[in-house]
Order: sequence, then C-alpha cells, then structure tokens
Amino acid sequence: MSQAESLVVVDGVSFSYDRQDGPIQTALDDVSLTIRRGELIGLVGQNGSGKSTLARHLNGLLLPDAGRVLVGDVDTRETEPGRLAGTVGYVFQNPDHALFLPTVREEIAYGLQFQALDESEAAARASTALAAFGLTQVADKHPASFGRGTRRLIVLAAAYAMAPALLVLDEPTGGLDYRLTSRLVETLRAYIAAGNSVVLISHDMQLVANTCDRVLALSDGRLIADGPPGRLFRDRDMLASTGLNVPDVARIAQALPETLVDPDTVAIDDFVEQFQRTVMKRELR
Amino acid sequence: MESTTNRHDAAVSLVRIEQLHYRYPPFDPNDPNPDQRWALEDLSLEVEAGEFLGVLGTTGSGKSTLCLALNGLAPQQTSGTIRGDVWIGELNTKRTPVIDVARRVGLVFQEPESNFLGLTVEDEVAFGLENLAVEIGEIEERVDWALKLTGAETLRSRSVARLSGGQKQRVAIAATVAMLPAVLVLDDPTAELDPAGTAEVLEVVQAVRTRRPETAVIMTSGDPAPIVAGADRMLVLDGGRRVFLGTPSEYIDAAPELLERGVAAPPFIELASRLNQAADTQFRFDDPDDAAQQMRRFFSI
Amino acid sequence: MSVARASFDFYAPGSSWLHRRDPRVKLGIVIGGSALALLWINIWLLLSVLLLVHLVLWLAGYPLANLWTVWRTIGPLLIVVILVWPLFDRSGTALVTLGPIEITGMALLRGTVTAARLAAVSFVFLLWIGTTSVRELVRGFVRLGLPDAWGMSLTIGLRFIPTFAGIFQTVTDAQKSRGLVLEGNFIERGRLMLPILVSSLVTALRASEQLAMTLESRAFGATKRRTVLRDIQMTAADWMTLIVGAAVVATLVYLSLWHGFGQSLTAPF
Repeated sequence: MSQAESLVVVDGVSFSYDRQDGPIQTALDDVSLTIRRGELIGLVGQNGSGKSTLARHLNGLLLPDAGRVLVGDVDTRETEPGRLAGTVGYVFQNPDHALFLPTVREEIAYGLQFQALDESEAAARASTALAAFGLTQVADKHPASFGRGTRRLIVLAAAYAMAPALLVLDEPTGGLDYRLTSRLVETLRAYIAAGNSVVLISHDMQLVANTCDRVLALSDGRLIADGPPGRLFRDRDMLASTGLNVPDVARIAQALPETLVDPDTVAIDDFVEQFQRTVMKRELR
Repeated sequence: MESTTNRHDAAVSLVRIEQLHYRYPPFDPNDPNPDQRWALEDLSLEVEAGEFLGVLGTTGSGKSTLCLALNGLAPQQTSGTIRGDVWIGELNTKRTPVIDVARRVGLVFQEPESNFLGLTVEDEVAFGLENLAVEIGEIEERVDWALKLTGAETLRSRSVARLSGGQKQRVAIAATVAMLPAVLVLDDPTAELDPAGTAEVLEVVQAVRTRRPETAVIMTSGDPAPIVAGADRMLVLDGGRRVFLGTPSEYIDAAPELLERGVAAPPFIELASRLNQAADTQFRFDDPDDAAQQMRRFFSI
Repeated sequence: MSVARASFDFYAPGSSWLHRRDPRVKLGIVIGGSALALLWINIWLLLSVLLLVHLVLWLAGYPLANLWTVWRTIGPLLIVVILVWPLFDRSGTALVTLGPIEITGMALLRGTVTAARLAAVSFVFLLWIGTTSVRELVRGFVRLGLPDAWGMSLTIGLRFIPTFAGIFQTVTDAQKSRGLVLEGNFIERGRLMLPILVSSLVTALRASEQLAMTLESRAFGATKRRTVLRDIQMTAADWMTLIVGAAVVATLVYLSLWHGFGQSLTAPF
C-alpha cells in the first residue's frame, strides 16, 4: 500500500488513565496500525480492553502518552478534536450525548456549519443524509420524541452528513432491528466504495464478520490481532483468551469439509454464495 | 371496557394481558398533529407461573413499554392513554400503585447504571426489603440467599459504582429476586454488555429459574440468540402488535417471515432462511452444530 | 497527556475506632471542632488542631494519598488567602512596599491564621466525611429527624455528583467529535458550551427519570416505617465519646470566651 492512501496512522501509542483511587491503569500498550482509504474495519474486544480509548485517539479526544497519531499529515497533538471532525467523525454509543437541537433536520445540519459549505451544498448534504437513514419523513420532529433506535439513526446521519474520510462508530446497531441494521450496512458499504473508511466497534461478532474486511482485536490494551476476519475467527485460543465469541457462520464453515465451504468463511453472504456454487458444481457433475 | 374475567379462579394464569392498548402522552402538548399511534395495540397473552417468556421485536415495537406496563409504571409514571388490562394474579397494574405491584413484579432495566441508588451491593439488595418493612432477621436471610443464588456473595461489601456491567446486572437481579417476586421482568438486560457480561446475566437468569422454579420470567432482548436458546415461549412485537407467539421451535419455522418484517434472528436461522431462498433448499436448523450436520447430509458426506 | 478522573469521594472504608463511631457523634465532633477553630486566632493552636486531626486520621488508617489530595484541593485557596490578605489589611509596620501595596508582617500573619483556620475546619470535616460512608452519613441525618424521602434524595444526589461529572465529560467529547471547538472570549465560549449543557441536562434528566422508576419498582414508600438493615446505633463508646467530647469543647469554649484562650495571634496559647 502506498503512503498516499493512509488516512490515519497510529504509531506506537501507549496511554494510561490517571486514577486517584488505584494504580495507574494502562489502557493502550504500544499500539500501531494504519487505516487506509476504502476500509471497513471491525474493532473488537471485551469491555475495558481499550476499544474506546483507541477510538478516542483517532480524532484527538485523547492524546498518546507515548507514540503519535497522524490524521493525514496532522499530528493529533497539534490540533483539536473539533478541527478534525470533518476528517474523522466519531459517533458515540449513547445518542443522548450528542443530541441537543429541537428538530432532526437541525441536528443533521449542525456539523455542516463548521465546514464552510455554501448553503445549497449544505442543504443537499443534509437531505442526502436524511434520506440515507430513512429520516426524511420525520425531519421536523423533535429528536427526543423518538425511541433509542431512531435517536441513534439521527446521530449516525449527522456524522454521515459531514462526509468525514473516516467514520468511527461505537456500537452503532444497538436498538436497531434487522431491517435498520441491514440498511445501515448498505449505507456504510456505499460510503467506503466512495473511498472513505469506517471503524465499527461492536460486540456483535456476526455483524463484524458480515461487514468488515479487516478486524482489530484488543485485549488489555494490546492489539493482539489485525487482519481479515476469516483468520481471526479461526484462532479459537486467541478468541477464548479475549472472551470473544465465534460467529455462527464461522462456526458452521469450520465444521464443514473444505471441499464444500472455505473454512475462512465468516459472512452470511459469502457462505450462501459458496453454497450455491458448490451445489451447481455437484449438479453439473 | 373492564375485564370480567374471574380473577379469583386458581386455574387462571399468573400474568394476564387483556386487549392492552397503550399510548404515550404527546411529546409536545401543543403539537397540532401529534403521533396517534399506539405503543402497544390490542395485545393479549397469558404467562404461567414458572414460565420463561422471551420477547423480541423491531425497533420501537413496544418491548420496553410492555415491561413498564407489567408493573404499572405505564401508565402510572409515564401517564398517557391505556385501554385493556394487565393482571398480575388479582392485581390490576394500571390501578394498583406501582409500589404495591412491586411486591409481585420485579423489574430490571436495560442500563446497568439506572438500576442502582449508589450504595454497597448488600444495601442495594436489602433496599426493597427495607421498603416493605421486612423484619431485620429475615432481611439478612433473604439477602444472603439472593446473593448466593446470583453468585454475587463475593461482591457483598463492594460499592456498586465500581462493578463491571455484568456484575451490576447480576446485583440488580439479586436485588429484585430478594423481594421474592412472582414475576421477574428484564428489559433487554444484556444490551450494554460484552459477551462475557451477557453470559454472566443469562447464567443468573437460569439460576433464578432453577432455584425458584415458580417465578415467571419475562425478558425482552435485542439479541435473539439467548431468547431462542432459553425461553419456553416467545412473543414477537412489531409496531406495538403481537406478530408471533409460540415456542422457540415454532419461531424457527416462522423466522423467515419475521425476518422480512425486520425482526432479527440468530445468524444460524438467518442462514437457513437465506439458503432456502437462494438455493431452493428446505433447511431448518436448531443451532449452528445442527446446521453443519444437516449440510453434510445434504451433500451426503 | 492523561485524564484525571473526577472524584468527589473522600470516604475511605475502614474499621478503625473512628470509622466505627456513630455518624451523629462524628457530626457533633465536626460542629464542636469547627466552632473552636472559628473561635481561635492563635496560629500555634490552629496548627496543633491540624496536627492532631492528621494524627487521628493517620491512626484511623486514612490513606495519606487522600490527605494529600485534600491539601492539593484547598492549597490554592489557602495561598490566595495568605497573599490577598495584606492587600486589605494595613496594620503593623511594612515589611515590603511595592508601589501602593504595603505588606505588613501583621497582615501576613493574619492571612496565615485565616488560612490555617480554613484548613483546620476542612480537615475536621474530613474526620467525618472521610470515615463515614454515604449510607451512614444519610442514616445519621435521618435518625436526627430528616424524612426518609429526603435521605434518599441526598443519597442519590451524592451518587450523582461523579455520574454527572462523567456525563459532562462524555458529552463534551461527543460534541467536540461533531466539530465543536471551544475558543474565543468568555462570552463566545459560553455560547459554544450550549450544546454541551443541553445534552448533559437531557442525559441527566433521563437518568433521574429512570432512577425514579427504579425507586418505585423497588417499593420505595410502600410502608410508613421502613426497616433498616444494619442501622446505626449509639454504643457505650459512642456515648463516652460524645460526653467527653462535649465536655472538652464546652471547657475550651468557656476558656476562649471568658479567659482569652487562643485569642492572641502568636503568644503560646
């Protein structure tokens, strides 16, 4: 990969939280990775493994104790999170932490004011985002009048509207049903196809398996795996030691002979496709 | 319309939901065009003592509202419009004060943070019993019992604020179970937990069912897997209406249609549904291992 | 850079003699001790009080790190008091003259006494809040006549301070992630803080609404008289402490008011 394609470089980052009531807690321990354009990356690990701490380094909300984080060619220590928001969007787990305006539309438009867009461009972006998240009908309603699932769609749409090159999403499917999750995944796929990248933090291993082409696994602040999900979900020892589950499809693929399905298969779409191919081959014979 | 069911008949179910309709008050009282949809619409079902009812649904389907209606918080705390009834034994939850329904119905909320008052584990578990003016000696016994049942003895003197999410929910269940409720209602208790925390909570729910088999458990979940694996019966809601009620086995049969509606299914069930559509197969998997076995058979290996 | 966790929790669990005292007795000690500290202006006496309180806390196993935290917290205030005092107090002869500002030894001493007094009162309070859990603290008030519901509000209020601090921090981060940059003059910053304040408030309101539901679900208010597991109880040692403490305080107050004890700035008592 050429240097030009790298979006965010995390270079030897260590970080610990100062705690008054206990020993210093190491939250990240010498983590290095590069996020390139067009990647949909899963970030997995148990609570307390350092996922959110790493995510907060990607837009400079936290600054490394050692090492550095480069967004494009800007060191996060030399700028402010707010100035990076157009490049790295970060959607927090609890939508209530972000929402504050009286209508869905204003909420979507909020981030755009920082981006020096002309009015028509901003309006167009907002409409596109509303449509992409199925919110056009409710654009003039109060965000607080909705349930948590819809409130989540609003914050996702607001971050999406700013069109950051990297979108970091913390548990974006909580409260979303099958249809809304599928729709979100489609939206994210189109988004990365346009050359952007997404980091998806999730405990739902099947979701990660279905959507991501690269998975980062953290355990006790260390990056213990970085690669395609097929490889990660075959490493049972590593998964057990980090308390992660094997998604159903990977479990099934691994239990079948290689002649039927590639044991690295983890995504449902992939599995169905291979199954069809195997059926056809057998029928031809 | 008032229900005329004979509620002193010992043969009737513990929990009886009869043509329940509930609508939240308008968010903006001055809205000329308020949302008139029911959060729960024409819902009827019964749950027996000892039964584990799992509840799934689409986004905004009314799962949480159902939990609130089961102990009367809806409509008593949330106000809004209610029609129909929820009976817990002889108590009608829309009329009996929530603090009295609390003797029969224990409710555990989704967010671990919201289940606590900020005390030590022991105090949290004793809290409900103190409110019911249970005698000190008995409080001690029941706290011991509840902590042991939920495997939280070692946490006893810890401050709840410093526990992990899974431990918090464990203690929330202990605090509820100590009140010896006839019905234990859990509103998506694993939504904010990691896989280890989720496993921890499901284990505790199982322990409650084993040690207090007469308890009816009603649990909603965004993740269908634990419901399909553990429930006796399943209720599926969509837009406040009941779209499925049956055993997990019947649910597996109905899953493709429910997926169409947007109700998430465990991945192995979704896989069967997708294969049947794409490859014209007739798969019906009970679990991932069964899936692998059936596919071997399909290819006669 | 590291992030310091907001902590307003001075309580350090333990089972020392001081920990085991009834919170009402400790409250009594605080009132008596503070009254004396406010009555006295003798620097040596105030420093002795400080020393004594530190000794008692140390004997009670109170973590030295916490003591240091308290010093660090009140330290800036104490220094400001000592430095600002001479600006308003011109008594005595000048030690230093800086243009219109005259710093006299007397003023410096008076500033120091006031700072010592503030420190003494703070640490006397620490005897109580440092060795009493929120639960006992509240039980103490309830047994002194505070209604149960108020006691519950107090418990929840105290619990909510760190929670709210956490919410505020997270909301600030969430808004920065949406492009918010806090810059400009005081007024401008205030305006920019608006989203943070609104979101924090909404989140806190949701949390308190939820907590109200939890209270009802656990039958809070179901009976007129709740029972209380491990309620506080005055023991013989508590009565002894109270009587001895009251006698000592009464004597010292008498001596101070009528015999000028501790009323000279520097004379040894």
